[in-house]
Amino acid sequence: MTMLGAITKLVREYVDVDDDQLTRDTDPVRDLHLNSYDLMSIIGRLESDLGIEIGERDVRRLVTLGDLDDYIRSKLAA
Amino acid sequence: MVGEASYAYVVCYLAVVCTGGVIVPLDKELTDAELADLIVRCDADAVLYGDELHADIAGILAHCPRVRLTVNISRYAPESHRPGFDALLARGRQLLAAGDTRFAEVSIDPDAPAAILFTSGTTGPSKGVMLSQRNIVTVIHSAFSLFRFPRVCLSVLPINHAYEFNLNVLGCLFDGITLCFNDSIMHVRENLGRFRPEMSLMVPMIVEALYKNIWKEAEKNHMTGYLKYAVALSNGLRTIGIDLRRVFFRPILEHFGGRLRVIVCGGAPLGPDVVAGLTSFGITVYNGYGITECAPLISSNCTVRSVPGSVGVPVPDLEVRIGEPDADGTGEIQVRGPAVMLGYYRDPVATNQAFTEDGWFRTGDLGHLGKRGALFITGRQKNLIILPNGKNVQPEEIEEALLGGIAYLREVVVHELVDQTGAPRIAASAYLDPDWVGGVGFEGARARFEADVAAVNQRLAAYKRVCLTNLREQEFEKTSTRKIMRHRVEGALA
Repeated sequence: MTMLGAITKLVREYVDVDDDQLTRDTDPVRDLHLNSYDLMSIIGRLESDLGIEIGERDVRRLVTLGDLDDYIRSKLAA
Repeated sequence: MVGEASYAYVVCYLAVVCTGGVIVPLDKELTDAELADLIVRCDADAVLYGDELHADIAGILAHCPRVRLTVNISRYAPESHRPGFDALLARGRQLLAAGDTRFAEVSIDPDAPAAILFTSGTTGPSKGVMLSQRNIVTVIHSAFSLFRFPRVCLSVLPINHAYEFNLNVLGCLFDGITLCFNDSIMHVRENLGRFRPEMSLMVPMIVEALYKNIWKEAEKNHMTGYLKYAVALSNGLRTIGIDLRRVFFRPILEHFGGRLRVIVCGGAPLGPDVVAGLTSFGITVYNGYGITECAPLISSNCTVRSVPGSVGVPVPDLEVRIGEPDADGTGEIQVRGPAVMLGYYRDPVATNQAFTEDGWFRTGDLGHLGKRGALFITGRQKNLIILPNGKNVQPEEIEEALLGGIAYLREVVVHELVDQTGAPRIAASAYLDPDWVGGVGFEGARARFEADVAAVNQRLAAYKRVCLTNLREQEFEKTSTRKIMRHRVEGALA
């Protein structure tokens, strides 16, 4: 599974939405109406599943699922 | 001081205020530019920061020429980011061992400013609320007059908020209660399991999410019907004095660590269905009301008196009155007493406007005093947007950012709009330069405007970002003094 696939799978646990509606351009707050607590919980789960550390200040720079995908892949590559 | 909740944060806070200094807790979610602005505005000489800011701190301080000292207060920061908190602690111990008792001999003026907390004001940029030690001690006394706190609490809210620091952190220290820190909002569930608290202070967004997850989990496990039946049975048994909630709902309560009994919820209104639902599972939720300018607690439902739908009775140390009540008794909630702030830092005009002629603080919130003296909130006089996470957003600040960043934007009103899921969002309703719109077409203008709003959003703290936009074909309706009639805007968009 791609990283984006792992992210969208997790997002679908929080919001009822079809997989094809989730793209790199999806803004989870604007488009899916997730609140910031849900969003942080999703990121927290990615953190523990992938064994990486994500700074809260970094999160505010991430707007779309594509941004999150790029960020996590850069963390894993580092 | 800006950083994550930690033991070091609390020690540094107390070290500053116990030596006659003034602490200015800042929100770590703010952008670098916003942090620099507040550091300058509060005339800070020193900046204490958590390691998360390490990479950004030099850039921030480049705009703060007055700052002479910076300390990374994270105990677990990499060696290269130190010396930090432990070095400060060691130096202090060294001085004490050498007989330097200046720390202990500082004379404290209880009515001098001890903390400045930046909050959204009624107009323009955020204001620095000056609180004295008397203000803070009063609020702790008020809280302990209402509640019997359990022995283990979990701190989950941003530690720079008066609600979290004055009530939870200082309250726990005052009463010898064990306080556990949630290291990140990302890890609330894990830390509930790790620390197994009996109580926590929360905001509606977290409480609602935890409650929603109970039912989601039940649905996933095909247990919704069983759970509804168990709730009905348990509620029935409670009416005849048999309380088996902690037995019936043990698997649910385990998600909260197994021992959580009390949640005190403030910052924004919480739905009565969530309060009733969690109570059915064995977790009592007390709704309260406060404002930073009152350090912050004004009223709360509590162990001894709880009135559904209200924000509880005013605390014993404050007087609450309703200013200019209408026929139903509703008017502005006004407060007087030793927890009310000293004023806004370097802003005598705003300070003067915040008080009535006879010295009562004007909260800007509308409400009435109902049965058994309980306070009911019915609305706000200010334009302030209060999000479910308790964050306050000043629309004028976002409007200024949009107008400054989008050249063809003629008029804009930022306001709260409830989306189709029932959640409040920050929305911007805009009127664009008609000549420019004529050139690119309405659809082209819409696409460009949304892209430009997204660009402005990048410069704002995440919680202040505009989620919904709406374009108008006409100018906003205005008063005779050419001010936009804001209250007409929100209805038009719904």
